[in-house]
Amino acid sequence: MEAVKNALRHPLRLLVLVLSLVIGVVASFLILTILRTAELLGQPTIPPGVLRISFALEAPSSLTPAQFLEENGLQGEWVTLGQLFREDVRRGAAIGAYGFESVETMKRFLPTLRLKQGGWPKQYQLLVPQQACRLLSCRVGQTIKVLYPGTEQPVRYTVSGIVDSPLATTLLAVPAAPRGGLDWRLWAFARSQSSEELEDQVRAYLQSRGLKAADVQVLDRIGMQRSWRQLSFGFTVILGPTALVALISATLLVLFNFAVNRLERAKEVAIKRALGASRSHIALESLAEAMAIFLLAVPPSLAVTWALLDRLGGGEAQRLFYPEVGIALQVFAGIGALVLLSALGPVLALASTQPSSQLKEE
Amino acid sequence: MMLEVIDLSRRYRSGSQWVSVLQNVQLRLREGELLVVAGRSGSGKTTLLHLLAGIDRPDEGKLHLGELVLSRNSPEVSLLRWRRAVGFMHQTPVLIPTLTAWENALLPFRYGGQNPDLAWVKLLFKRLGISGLENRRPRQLSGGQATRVALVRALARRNTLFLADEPTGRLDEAGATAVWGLLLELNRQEGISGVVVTHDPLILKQAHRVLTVQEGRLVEAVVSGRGDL
Repeated sequence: MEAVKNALRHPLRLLVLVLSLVIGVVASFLILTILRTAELLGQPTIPPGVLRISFALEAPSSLTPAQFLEENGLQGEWVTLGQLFREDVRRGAAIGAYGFESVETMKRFLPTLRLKQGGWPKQYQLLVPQQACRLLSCRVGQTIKVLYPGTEQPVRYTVSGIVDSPLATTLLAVPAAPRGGLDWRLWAFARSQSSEELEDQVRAYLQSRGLKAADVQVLDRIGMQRSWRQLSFGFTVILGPTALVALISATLLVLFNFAVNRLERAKEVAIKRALGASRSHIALESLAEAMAIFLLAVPPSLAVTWALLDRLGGGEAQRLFYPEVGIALQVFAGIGALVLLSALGPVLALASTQPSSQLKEE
Repeated sequence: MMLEVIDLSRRYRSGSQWVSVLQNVQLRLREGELLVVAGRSGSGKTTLLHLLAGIDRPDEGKLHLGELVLSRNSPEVSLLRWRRAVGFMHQTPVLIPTLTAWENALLPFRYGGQNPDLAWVKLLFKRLGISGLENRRPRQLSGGQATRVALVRALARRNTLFLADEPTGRLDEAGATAVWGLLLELNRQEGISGVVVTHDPLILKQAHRVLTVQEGRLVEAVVSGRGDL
C-alpha cells in the first residue's frame, strides 16, 4: 500500500510511465497473439483434408454441411468440413456462424450447445453431438479415428463430451479456434480443384437451393497460411518498432524516475537508515514501488489489449484473434522483469545512501 | 556506565586537504545523565552526535554502549544494532510525506523487529500536545507539530539513550517548554540518558553537564546546578 502511495507522489510522471508501459504491453501482446495465431494455423489439428466420418445428420435446416458434401459429391474426398472452436468454449455459449454469413438459413440454426456428458474438449479431443454418437456408438473417453485424404494413418481424437445440438456433426477442438464461442465454418481444401472452381461449386449449390451467398470464402490451406504469414509479418513490422520504442521509453522512464527519487528522497532514506533500516529494507521498499508502478499499468494494458483484439477479431472473416492467458503471462512476466531490472541500479544506489552525509547541516 | 567514547577522531576531506573535526574525544555518560553539547556553528557538534547515533563511523577510536561496540571497522550489522539501540532526533523533522503522523511515529518498529508499544506512543502524542493529529500527513502539520512527531518517533522505542540535535530549535516558547519538559521528565522518572546539542539557555540550565566542542575536543564548559546524579 505504501509502495502505491509512493508511486502516486508525482501523478504526471506516473501517468507518462504507466502510459509507456501500457503501449509496450499492448504492442507485445498483439505481436505474440498474431504470431501464435499464424503458428497454430500451420498445425495439423486444422483439418487438412477430407473428414471421412460418415453418419446420419439431423439438422433443422435444409442446408447442412453434410448435405452440401453429399449433394456435391464431395464427401470423403475433397472437402473438409470442420467446426473450430476455442478450447475454453463455455457451457451454453451460442454458436455464431460465418462463411456463409449472408445466408439467412444458416443464421437460423445457431444453437446453444448443452453438454450432456463428459467435458469440454481440449486439443485432439472431440465433442460429438448426441445423435451422431448414437449412430457411431461412441462414448466419452473413447478414441475415434479420423482419416484425412492423402494420409495413410488416421488421426486419433478422444471424445471429451457429448452435446445436445441440432447440428448433428462432428466438432473438432483446436486451440486456434475463434474466440467468443463456437463458430462453425466451411473450410474447403481442394486438391484437384482450384479455389475458384470450388467457390463456383459452392455458389451454384446455394443458388440451386434458392439461397444467396454474398461472400463465399473458399480457402486453400497454402493460400490461407500465406495470407496469415503476410498478415502476421505486416503486424509485426508495424507493431514491433512500436513495442520496442515504448519499452525502451518505459525502461528509461523507470530509470529516470528512480534516479530522481534518489535525489528527492535521500533525506527520507537517510532518516530511515538512522532509525535502523538496512540496505535491503530500503531496496525492497523501492522495488515494491517499481512493482506497484508496473501493476498499475496492468489493468489498462489488459483493457486496451482485449479491446483491440476484439476489434481485430470482430470481423466475421477474422475471428481467430483471441487473448491467450499464456501470452498474457509471458508478456507481463517479461515486462515486469524489465521494470524491476531498470529500477535495480538506482534502487541499489538509493539503498546505499549514507545517513550521515544526508543529515548534515542544511 | 551508559556510554563510553574512547579516543574518538573524525576527519573529512575538503578539496585536497583533510580537515580534522574531532580529535581524541573522550566521553563517559553515566546512566540517567543529561548532557548538553554546545559550541559554535561548524565546531563538530552534529558530527559528534552522528557518531554517537551510529549513523557515521569514526576514523579512530571506539564507542561502547552496553554490550555494543562501534569502531571504524564495525560491520554493517553492528551499526544497525547500534542505531536501533538509541533514540535519535535530527535537527529538522524529516517525516515521510506518504505516511500519517502516527505511521511516522511507528517507523522505528518497522526496522527494529520489535513490537510497538502503542499505549506508550499514544501517551507521547498526548504529552506533547499533538493528540488528535495522528491521522494527519506531514504536509498538514505545522513545523512545530512535525518536530514533536519527530520527537515521538525518536522516543517510541523507549531506548535508554536519547540523542537530539537542536530539539527545540524550530519551536516557539510553549512548544520548546513542552518538549523540554517531557525530556526532563523521562530523564528523571525513567532514567533515560541523553545527549542534546543545543544553545537553548533553558536546556543549558537544567543539564547535568554542559560540554563544548573546541578545536575538535570536548571541553567541560559549565557544571549545571543539577546535582541529582
